[in-house]
Amino acid sequence: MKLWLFQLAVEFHKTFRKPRAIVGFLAVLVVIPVVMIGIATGGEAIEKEFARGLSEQFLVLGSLMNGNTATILVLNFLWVHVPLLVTLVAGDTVAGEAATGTLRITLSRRPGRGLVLSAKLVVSLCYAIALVFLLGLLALGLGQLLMGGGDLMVLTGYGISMLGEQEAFGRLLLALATGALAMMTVASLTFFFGVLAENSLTPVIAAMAVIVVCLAISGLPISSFDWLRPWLFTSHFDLWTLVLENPVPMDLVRDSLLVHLGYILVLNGLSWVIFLRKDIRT
Amino acid sequence: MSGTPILEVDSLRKRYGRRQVLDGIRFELHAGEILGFLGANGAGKSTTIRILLSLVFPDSGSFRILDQHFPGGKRSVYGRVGALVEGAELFEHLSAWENLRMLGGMQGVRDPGRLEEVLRWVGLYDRRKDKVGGFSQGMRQRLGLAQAILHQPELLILDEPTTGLDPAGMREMREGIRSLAKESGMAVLFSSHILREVELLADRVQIINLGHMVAEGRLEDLFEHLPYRLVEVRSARAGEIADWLRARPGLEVLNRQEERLLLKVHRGQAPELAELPQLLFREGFPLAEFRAADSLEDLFLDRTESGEMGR
Repeated sequence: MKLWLFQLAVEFHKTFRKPRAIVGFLAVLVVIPVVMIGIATGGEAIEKEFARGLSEQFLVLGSLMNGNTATILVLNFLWVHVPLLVTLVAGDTVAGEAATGTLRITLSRRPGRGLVLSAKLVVSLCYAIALVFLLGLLALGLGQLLMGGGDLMVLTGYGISMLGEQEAFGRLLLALATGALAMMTVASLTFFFGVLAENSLTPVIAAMAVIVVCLAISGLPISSFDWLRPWLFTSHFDLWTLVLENPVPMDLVRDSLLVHLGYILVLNGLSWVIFLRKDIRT
Repeated sequence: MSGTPILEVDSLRKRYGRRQVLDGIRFELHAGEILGFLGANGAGKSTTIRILLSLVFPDSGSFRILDQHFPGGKRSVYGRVGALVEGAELFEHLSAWENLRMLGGMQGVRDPGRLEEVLRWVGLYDRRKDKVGGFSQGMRQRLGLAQAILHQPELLILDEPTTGLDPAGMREMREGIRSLAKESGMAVLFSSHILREVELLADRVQIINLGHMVAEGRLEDLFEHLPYRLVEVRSARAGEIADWLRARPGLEVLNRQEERLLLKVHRGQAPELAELPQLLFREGFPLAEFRAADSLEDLFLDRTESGEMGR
């Protein structure tokens, strides 16, 4: 256990000091304030767009835009942008070290392969979680600062869901947690490709290709894909929006949780089996 | 050499796809001994070393490090092994000190005093805070050696340790390795394709070619007391010659690569070396080349210069 904890500390130190990991955090730290300031200062257009869609059924009084609603807008980065940042780091933890040759120096020491791999996996998953929470909490904090609180309005697939200000914070945290779970699936997928590859670019490209193709299949209204759609993890990328609905559709949430957990378990299980038998030739 | 060997390798075989990379490698290494593992690029030296470090899994065969038999031995024995594999690839975005702290920690070394001692020994203490990415190849090699000996291993495995070093650096590295073996009793296995390097450093050599051990022993014995002659034959009908020779006593075909054959002619059992070409001509085999290859230098240079033969 002591050796594993040391290895975990080593992997955290190595990974979080790498430029690509820092770039991910910097991107969030730069982009989110810019977006939030943009929404706060020029959000009328977005608000008008909201109001136009609602005006036929609702009488809209006051402003729809507030810090909570703006956070929801920012969370839409979870579809493609955040996955890209997650893949950059998850793809590098094994494959990047294989490419630079540092994997052999690590694996020729006392800690076994399983121990090293598990530490690398934990770090990759933690990076995905950290990125989502940094993005969400930064957006939430800046949103409160710039636009104040208020009721949370969420456009769902079949209507509008309104949450009172009191409940909004807790639900947003839940959205971040479920969003992080989806990003853990992305990290696991990239990690799996990273175990197969011997350079850090291949797993990133492979994972992003899978995500884009699966998102297309998930989103396209083609009946021949109906059987496949529920099994694609990208069909459950919207898990974070489900937990913002009122009431929460528990059956859908359960299905999405199971799909994500299933992917995480299977992909990491495969990574484990492959890595423990792999010849390190780079 | 008496006593139980620190390292014992038995019949290692490894195939990558269709290519037999190792074919029955066996040797042993004792405490305080420096064994030079000599062979051309691609001869199988690095694969052997990777197997010994459990980076690559053998198809068959086994090895023992200290009290652990592999495959299946306890991983903890690698805490008593130091290694530098194919160049010192370290974490470039971290400093020399951070690299050693992490890599030493994995081997159970947490004492900053030991880190300082080793960094001073390899002459990098003043550069300890610099990122490795800015180091020259020579500095990386020295830091690579530092991480390998940090935990005072009983077995030190070095793959081409002088790569990228200037002549002065190569001498320093040699002296360092020699002092580790003689003063600490460390068993050292080092691979090289540089004959001079091996001559200057090794107590004993193993020559590997195309995955086979082609010579083994102390250098002076290899030069003066070979029980056989090595002969290289080049002929358009090399395959037929190989079949013909295999049926003769005292003759072994060590390798065949296209038109080239490497033969082992055992003294006293086979025809005299001078008679062999005549015998082959009499059987109607055309010979493009027939030459002795039994000096270590000749053998080694031939392997490194002959393209396909060296692979």
